[in-house]
Amino acid sequence: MYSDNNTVEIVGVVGHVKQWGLDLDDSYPLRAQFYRTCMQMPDAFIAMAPTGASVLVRSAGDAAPSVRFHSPDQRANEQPAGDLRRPDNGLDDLRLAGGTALFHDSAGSGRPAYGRSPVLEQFVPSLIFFDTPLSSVKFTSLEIQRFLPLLLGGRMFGEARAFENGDDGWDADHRCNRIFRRRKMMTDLLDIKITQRDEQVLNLLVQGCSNKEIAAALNISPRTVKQHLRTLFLRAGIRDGRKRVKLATAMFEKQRGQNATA
Amino acid sequence: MQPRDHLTGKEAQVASLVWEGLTNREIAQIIGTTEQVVKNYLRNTFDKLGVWSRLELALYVANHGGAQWPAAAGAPDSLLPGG
Repeated sequence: MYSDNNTVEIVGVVGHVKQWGLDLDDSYPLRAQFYRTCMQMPDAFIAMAPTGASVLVRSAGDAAPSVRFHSPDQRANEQPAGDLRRPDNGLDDLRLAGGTALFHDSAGSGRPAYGRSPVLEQFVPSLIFFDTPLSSVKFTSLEIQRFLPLLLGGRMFGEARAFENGDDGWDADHRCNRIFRRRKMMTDLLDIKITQRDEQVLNLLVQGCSNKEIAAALNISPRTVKQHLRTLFLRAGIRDGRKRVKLATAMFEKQRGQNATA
Repeated sequence: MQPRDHLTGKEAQVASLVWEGLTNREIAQIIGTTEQVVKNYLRNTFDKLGVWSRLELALYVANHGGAQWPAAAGAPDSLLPGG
């Protein structure tokens, strides 16, 4: 179904999560695709702004990207989801039907049709990128690294909430965290503090050992193993789900990365 | 033929979701079944891959391509307007 020429490349996301309108819980395939995009495209940039704008998407092939979304307005009116369409009026990027349009006019009217966000610009000056055609925008992982912690630290959300009239935003934050946590985990794990003992525990964990097996191998009690893991979860910011699986796979990736560079 | 080639589409999908660190309940919500069905898938997957725990399964997936596994398999067609 997601053949190569039908996959969606999410170039950027602008708009508070609650407003970006991708109903992540309802459209799982999109979420899966989104996860993967985040993880596989170091050049992708993900941002959120308090304006009501939405998602920038570019399809990999000629086919129109198959994404559905709910714009905030539509959701309020309980209208069905809109489609993303490739506009045929000389605009070279896609825009969202419904929500605030975020596209660049390549036909040269010189009038960018998007909502500006002073707050966002304050935090991320490089977001001026919307002045250039999206296809030419490249972001480095460094920029992502600099920006994401800000985003995840809730600072952005705090600001964003000031623009909201409705709910407290917890649900949106929660969803957003779910998406970014994995990415954050990967980056965070590169520099969390790992003591010698932790490392021994982790090495066994990455081999798929149970707590009991780790305890037996290190000659400590299973409760101590648990405690080691607990502190590691805390440092790595892994809060729910199958935490040891998340930790183990993240460590696995990390070790593989280290082996690759070594 | 590798052990993973014996997995059905759904089993591979569930395996990939386990790799993402989701709980059985979350997986069930995503693929639209009950927790028990997910457990059955997992049991079969364990048997086919010869692993004993979900951690081992996750590491197997990580070792065999990770992100390339088909988590989106079985997506409802309604999500693809205009094909």
